[in-house]
Amino acid sequence: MPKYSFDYIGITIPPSDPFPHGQTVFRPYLIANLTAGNGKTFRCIVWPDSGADHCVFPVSFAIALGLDPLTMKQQLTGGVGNTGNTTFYADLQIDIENGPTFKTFCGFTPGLEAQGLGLLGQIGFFENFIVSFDHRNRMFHIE
Amino acid sequence: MPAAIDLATILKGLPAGAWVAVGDNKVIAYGADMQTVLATARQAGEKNPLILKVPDRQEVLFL
Repeated sequence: MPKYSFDYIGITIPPSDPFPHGQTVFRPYLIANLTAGNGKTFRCIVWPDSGADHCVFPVSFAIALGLDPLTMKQQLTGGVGNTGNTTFYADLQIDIENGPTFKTFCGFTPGLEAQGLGLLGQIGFFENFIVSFDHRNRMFHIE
Repeated sequence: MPAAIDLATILKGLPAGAWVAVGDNKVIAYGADMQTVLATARQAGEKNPLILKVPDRQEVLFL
């Protein structure tokens, strides 16, 4: 099984009351190409997130992929700070640039519109790959 | 493997909350509506732009 290695991306957070000098956070962002069953593709940032049960994306990505949420299976989902988000599901192929490709049943939720990126979750991603985080060296690996 | 994208450089100066289309590490289009940004980038010849969003504010996240 090939092992793919990536650098974390540093994000500068401005000063706040608990962190008056600001912060730099490091996130394991990746770029992925999503392909729907109709052949349409969409290129976006994805974030491996072991706290996500499924792979999920902003619902606007479904529209861009030519999917119609009104005809998709749906359920309510939640995250930190929100619950009861209607999430619409479809099969996708996810090609991580310079990394692996996999297919999974993905959610599309309005709860991710503010972030504008996808989460790679347990079903479809972590169940199929060994993902290791070497935060000290600002690297992570997928195999 | 270098980082997937240099977000700080690409997003510098763009308005908070904007959707952005990127090709060859350059901003091709940006605006409030993602579908419009995507269409504009494709009309500009970028068939598969990277679409991302400028945060409303950079903040610590717990997704």
